[in-house]
Order: sequence, then C-alpha cells, then structure tokens
Amino acid sequence: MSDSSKLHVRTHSYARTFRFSGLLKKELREILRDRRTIITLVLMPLLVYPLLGLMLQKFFITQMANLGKVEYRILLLNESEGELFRNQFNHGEQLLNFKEYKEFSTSEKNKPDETLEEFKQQKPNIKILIVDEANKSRSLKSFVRKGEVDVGVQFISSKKQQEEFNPNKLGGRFEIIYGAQSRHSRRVADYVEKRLQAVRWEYRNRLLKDLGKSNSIPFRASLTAVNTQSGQAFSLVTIVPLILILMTMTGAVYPAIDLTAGERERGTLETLMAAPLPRMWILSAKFIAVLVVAIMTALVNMMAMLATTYANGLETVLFGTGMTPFVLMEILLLLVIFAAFFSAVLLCITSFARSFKEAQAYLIPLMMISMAPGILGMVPDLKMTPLWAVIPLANIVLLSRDFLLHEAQPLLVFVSVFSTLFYGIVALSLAARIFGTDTILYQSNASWTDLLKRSNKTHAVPALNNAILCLAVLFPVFILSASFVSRLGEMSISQRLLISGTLTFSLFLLIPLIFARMGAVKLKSGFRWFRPRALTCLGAILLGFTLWPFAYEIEILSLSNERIESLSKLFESLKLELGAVPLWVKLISLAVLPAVCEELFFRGYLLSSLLNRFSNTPAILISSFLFALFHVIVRDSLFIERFFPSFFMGLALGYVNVLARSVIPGIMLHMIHNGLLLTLANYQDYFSTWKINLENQKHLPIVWLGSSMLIVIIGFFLIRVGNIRQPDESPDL
Amino acid sequence: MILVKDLTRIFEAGNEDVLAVDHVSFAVSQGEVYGLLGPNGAGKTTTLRMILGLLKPTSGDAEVEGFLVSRQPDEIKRRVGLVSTSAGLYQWLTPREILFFFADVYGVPKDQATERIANLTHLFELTSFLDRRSATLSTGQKQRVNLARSLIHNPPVMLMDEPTRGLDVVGSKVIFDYIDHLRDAGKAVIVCTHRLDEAEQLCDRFGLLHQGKKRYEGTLLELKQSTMCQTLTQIFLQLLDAPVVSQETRASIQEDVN
Repeated sequence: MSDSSKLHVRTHSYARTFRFSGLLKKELREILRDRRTIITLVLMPLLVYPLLGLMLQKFFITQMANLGKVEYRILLLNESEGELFRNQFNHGEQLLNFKEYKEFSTSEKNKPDETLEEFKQQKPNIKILIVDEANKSRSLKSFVRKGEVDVGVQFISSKKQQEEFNPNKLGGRFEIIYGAQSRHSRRVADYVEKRLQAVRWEYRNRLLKDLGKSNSIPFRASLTAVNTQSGQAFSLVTIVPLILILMTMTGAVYPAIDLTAGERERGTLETLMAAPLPRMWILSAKFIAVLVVAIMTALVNMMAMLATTYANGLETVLFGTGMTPFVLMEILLLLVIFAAFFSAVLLCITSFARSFKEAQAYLIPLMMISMAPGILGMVPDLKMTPLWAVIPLANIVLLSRDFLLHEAQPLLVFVSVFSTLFYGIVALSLAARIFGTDTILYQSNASWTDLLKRSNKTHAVPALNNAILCLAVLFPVFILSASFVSRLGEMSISQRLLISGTLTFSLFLLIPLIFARMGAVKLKSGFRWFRPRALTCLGAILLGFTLWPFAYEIEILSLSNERIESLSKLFESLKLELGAVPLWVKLISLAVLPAVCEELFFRGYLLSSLLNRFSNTPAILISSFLFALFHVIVRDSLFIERFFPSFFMGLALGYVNVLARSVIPGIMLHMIHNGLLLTLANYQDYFSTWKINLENQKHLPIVWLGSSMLIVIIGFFLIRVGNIRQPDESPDL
Repeated sequence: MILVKDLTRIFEAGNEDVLAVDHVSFAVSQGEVYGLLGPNGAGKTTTLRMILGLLKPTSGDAEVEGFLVSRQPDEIKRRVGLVSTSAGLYQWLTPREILFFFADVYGVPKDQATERIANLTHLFELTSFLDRRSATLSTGQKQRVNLARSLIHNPPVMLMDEPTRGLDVVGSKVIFDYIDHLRDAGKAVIVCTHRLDEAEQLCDRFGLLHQGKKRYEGTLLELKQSTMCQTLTQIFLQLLDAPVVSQETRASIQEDVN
C-alpha cells in the first residue's frame, strides 16, 4: 500500500500537467494513419483533377485559339460621332501614358479598374465601328443587348453646343452602353470611360491654369447598362474556389465523423471522458485535428489543380490572368478560414451522432445545403455585397473570385473573414454544449432542441460560450443593419439617425437580453448593473470630458496626410448633412443610445463573462479589441483609422468598469465623450476661437493635452479611491 | 474509500420518465472487492457511471477518497481506473502508444510511465503485441491492453463493468488474477457482472440490484442467511421473483455455476 499511496501523491501533484499537445498528437496520429483519410487526401485529387482537366480541355479546345487575341468592339451611330470619339479616345490613350493621369485614373475609383488585358500588359485590339446604312433604324442598345458589339457609344450634346460648335468646348456627354450580364462588356466600358475621363481631367487642369478664359468642361462620360441576351452561363473563375471549397469540405467530413461518432461507436470516447481532461480540451484537440486534415486537403487539391491546369494549358481559362503567388496565398488563407468554420460545423453536427452511419445521415443534407450558396456564387457578374459577405460559403467563393479578378474590396474582405470566423466560433461553442455530455453519450432521446435549451440553473454572469454565441449573432446582424442604413439615401438625415438609434438599441441590448434569458443569467450581475459610488461617478464624468483629446490624437497620428485630406472632405459633407439636424436628436441617437447599449453589451454582458474566465488585463484587452472591431465598420465602409482610438476608449472604459465594478460610470463616461464631440462639432465656429478645430485634423494645442492629462489622472484617482472601501459585491440598484 | 449515498437517476424516454437507479447507497473500503450484481437493466452500469461523474445523478451523491462527484468530478476521475467491456482501443495506435497516451492524460511523468508500462507489460503479457496496431489484436489481447490502460496511473479505486464479457476461459483467468492483484494492492474495487459464478469467486461483498433498487447487500454468508438460499444463483432467481424452479433446473444451474 505504501507504493500505492506514494504513486497517488505523485498522481495528484501532476494532476495539473495535462498535456494538450499529447491529446492533439494522439488525434492526429489516429486520423493521419487512417487509410480512408489518405484516400481522400491524396487519391481523390490525383484522380479528380486530371479527369477534370481533360474534360475542360476538350470543352475549351475550340475556344483556345481566340484566347491570346482580345478584341474590344465599340459601336457609334454615325461617322461624325465616330470621328469625335476617335479623337477624344486616342487623346485619352496618349494622356494615360503620362504619370499624373495614371494616378488620376486609379484615385477616381475604389477598385483598380485595370482590365485583365492591361494586367497582362497586352493592348487589346480596338475596333471602332459605325452603324451601317442597313441598320440605321436600330438603337445602339439593341446591338449591345444582342452581343453584336461590346459597347455602344453615343454623344449627347447640350443645347449650347448645338448652337455654336467648338471642339474645345464640346459641352455634352458620351454615353457608354454596356451589357450588364457580361463582364467583358463592362471591362470595355471601363476601358473607354477611363480614357474619356483622362481628356476631361486634362481639360479641367487647363481651365485651372487659364482661369477666366473659359468656363465650361468639354464633356462628361456616363455608363448605361442594358440587359444582354447571351451572357455567360456561369463564371469560370468562380469554379476554381468552388471546387477547392468542395474538396476541402470532403476532406474534413471523414475525420470529423471518425473522431466523434466513430470514437463513440468504438467505445474509446467513454474512456477519454473518464479521464480528468476538460471537455473543451478534448473537443479542441479534435477540432484542430479535423482542421489540419481539411487544410492539408485544401493544399493538396490546390497543388493538384495548379499542376493539372498548367499541364493542360488551361490556366488562363480557369484562373483568368489574375493568378499570382500572392493571390494564391490569399485564396489559401481564405480556404484555411473556411476550413476552420466548416470543421467546427461538422464537429457540432457529428457530436450528436451515436454511430458513423447516423453522422453520415446528418451530413448529407448539410452537404446539399452547402452546395446552394456555392453554386449561387457562380452566377455571372454577381456583385459581392455586404449581404453576400455574411452568407457562409458564398462569401468565400465570391471573395476568392474577386481576388482572382483583383476586384476584392477591403470592407467586404473584412466582413467575410470575420463573419466566417464568428460562425466557426458559434458552431464550436454549440459543439462544446453537447460534445461528450451524458445526454449524448448515453441517452437515446437527445435532440437538436438541446442546443437551445434554457439552462435550469441561474448564473450570476454569462458563460463564455453564451457570450461568444451572442457576439457571433450580433456581428452579421450588425453588418446587415449597417448596410441597410447606408441604403436609406432617400430619407432625411433625422430619420436615418432615428433608425440607426433603434438598430443600436435592438442589436446591443435586445440580442444580449435574449441570450441572457436563454442562459438563465441574472440581469444585474450579468450586465454589471450595480450602483456606483458618488466619487466614482465624478471620476467618470471628468474622464468623459477629458479623454477625447487623446483618442483624437491617436486617430490623427495613425493617419496619412492623404487620408487626413480625404477625411476633411468627408467631414465637410457630413457637416452639411448633420447641420440641419437639431442637436438633441444627434445627442440621443449618437451619444445616449450608443453609450447605454454598447456599454451594457461590451462592458456589461461580454466583460462580465470574460472576467469570469480570465484575469482583468486579458479580459479588458479582448473586450476592447472587439469594441474597436465593431467601430471600424461605418455604414458600408471600412474605417481602419477608427480602430486605434476605439481600442483606446475600449481600454479606458474597460479599466473604469473593472475599477468601479459597475457598468454605470462607463455609460456616463461614454455618453459625455460622444456628446461633447457632437457639441463641439455643432458649435465649431464658436470653438475655433479656442483653437479647437476637429475637422481640419490638426494636432491640438499642447496646453490642452497637458491639462486634459492632469484631469484624466484625477478622474482615475477618484474612481479608484471611490471603490477602495467597497465590498466585493456592489449594492444593487 | 467509496461511499455511495442515495444515488438516483431518472432518464427521459419520450414523454415518460424511467427510474434507472433508485436511491442506491453502499460503501466499499480499501482492499475490498464489491460485486454489484443484477440482471440486465438493473442499473449497475448507470450507478458506476454516476460514481465516475460520467452521468449526472438526478439526486444523491458519491464520494471517493473524500471527494464528492457533484463538486470535484475531476479529482474523482484522477483516482479511479475504469475497465468496461464497451471500451475499445484506438485502432490505428499500438498498445505502447495507447499506454503512453493515457499516462500523459493522467499526468504520469514520462520516466514513471516507462517504468509502469514495463511492469504492466510483464503483468499482462503484452510483450508480443506491444508494437502492433490495435486493430489487429484479438479480443483477449485487447482486453488485456484495456486492463493495463486502467492501471497506468495506479488509481486507488477500480470500477469494472462486465470485465469478462466475451472472453474465453484463459481470458477470464487473467481478469481473476488481475482482481486478486488489485485486492492485494489495497484498492477498492467495484465489479459489475451478471456472471454469478465469477462473482462468488471474486467478490468479498455483494449488492444485488433489481429495477434500480438495491434489494440485498452483504457477504455471501450473510446473503445466504438472510435469503435462506444456498447459492448466489438461487438468491438471484429469488430476486427476480422467478417461479419456483424444479430440482432439475436448479441442478442444471448449479452445474453451470460449477
């Protein structure tokens, strides 16, 4: 017995040294030695791609001859307009050879409008055609609609021009008609527009130089889309990511089933659950193992696809001309993110199954459902929008396509990546709720409703997975509502503000309240709604008045001069828009509501959950990061420069919250901070006499910063002193 | 060492509640082998799972070495070795890899684990197949690996669920020797079985479960005295409220038992 007790002591002393790596090693060994994994991983790509390559080669063999020779067919109504257009177009072509006009052309648009042919450094063959006598009665639109030409161009002159012709003052506009369903037609239209714009730009420059001598701009160029009869049936460039995604999914399916339902069927899961390992560790090890196999499948498939397409000479057909090592890395990264999301979904579903067959039965509908958004993504000329960016799978397919076409927009990349990651976290936290529980291990009546079952026990603070789930639901809804608000162009600014305020309230307050109810979380402790001390409130109020100069300085320090300039213009237009709104409306919708709702969510619900799991510093850091992340998205644009000041404010508000052990001082601080900035903007003219001008994005006077710093220190001191004698739990309101 | 107090578990089956274990209490001390007997569906396995914290009791609690399963399930898991017929092996790993993995899981340091694996290999005669893939092992060999696995962290308490199911005479003999070894090592052992012949040989005390309730408890002698039956089989049949069995049937049962 002496030996036994000695070993027992040793067992206890090493009790906390569980090795996650050991667990992971076992999962990886088991799955990577399995023949079925190897078959999906290696044999499938080896068989699928050569076959696919052969098929495509046969299919495109007739079209291959035309690939190298790109033709742009531009149609004009008559010879005089043709002459006019040819002159302006050629002039624009020459201008674009100068650096300054190149810069102009890229700064004019959000996305680079280089065509694929330009990317290849190949000049397209431009054909300027004139409508012949026989077709005089037909409109340009009908030619474009039937695909007989790529674009139609007509010159619509102004009345003044009709009276007195002057080639330097054309005074009208070129209307470029293109086919909405044809990517090629759109490319040609962009190509033409760019050249005409260059002429216009040059003319404007000249005007500025000879100010007073002339007062008209030669012409404008506008684009008009028409529906075409013969568009491409599907976009070939979309096939590449779709195939890669489908293969990645196939690669992840077997390990996910085997490591959950398979283990349960073989009786090894019970042995593992009987060991002193946290359930989340076991699940995480399985998740990583599935993810590794999924990523390996993606890699092998990508290499096999590249090898096959290059061997068959199909690279231009499949990848367009946008395939570069960088794009390859981008797509691979997207696949990794998608693999993480899909592995989590698979684990969530297979955790329910008691046997391999049952898991397969669950996954077949999932695979079928997954096909739908992927195939939808193949619709030609389908534009990536915020809505598509939050639809799983479709967002990755469309984003990969846009990477290949060099058309990806930063906001949509950001939204797609984060929404996919958030969905993965949701799936994983759902899996954590059910994986290895006795209901799943031993009972036969477990159902999907167990996932949404309300907890029987009340909790003082939300469980971390509840808070993460809430966040993951909030994120896509937030994106969609931001996109929705940006579409309310026809409404007055006051109405828009009202809707935006309602959305803030619904998102950051109602959704967490629903989750609090589902998780049986006590509202007061869950949202940290405790009565603060008077001194703490005073400290928070002081901070509310004095933190903004630092947030402002952080923002302008992180900005480039060009960005400051463009933001100044933006503020100018915003000022005009917001000027008409009464201050109290602005204060309620942009200060009071966001302060209350965001604080209750970020520093109430989320932070209480994080503090329950982590120490103060990581909890504040994580909540501040997420707070900043939500502030980067404004309507349908991405304002990266908002990250750092928001993160700074998140840190300050988080620290105040932890010191005060209540959300209320933070609400005061946040409200005063926002309200003060709105008031400053409202009375800008008055404040500019104090050398405060937030719109010109210049540094604040050092005196301001120094005195603010002093008050900030006093504010934090008061909050700290106010809570020194406070007991562990603050008194309830 | 093991104290089971009023353990109760109700399962939901559709709209019905099924009482699987009904206020079962018993205690097992160091160096004692306790036989938890009963027909299929009596609640033996459910009781074991509740002691180990794999199933949450509807009410009641279990205590192992002073730790309550309701409060510190991980402390209990650290102190318990589980041998179950339903337990399988990782088919793509070798017994050596499995043993090292579980040593790691239970926090046994590498050098100690190597030493223990050498001892267990000797005890259960695993040498010839220690580095073979587990999927290729016979049932008996797999069961031996499982026994070794359950002892890798040298737990003071052993829970054994139908340890001899599916084993031949030689395989069963290994289990018997193993349980003797555990008793000698001073471990508290609970063996769940419906093999009464084995139970008579192995166990020091018995608890007879039927329809979730504990009907009898005591040593073989105490059970015989309280039930007026001569053998464990007769006690068992009485427990089931079986009709009076003929002398011939009794004789055949007795024969089976012998």
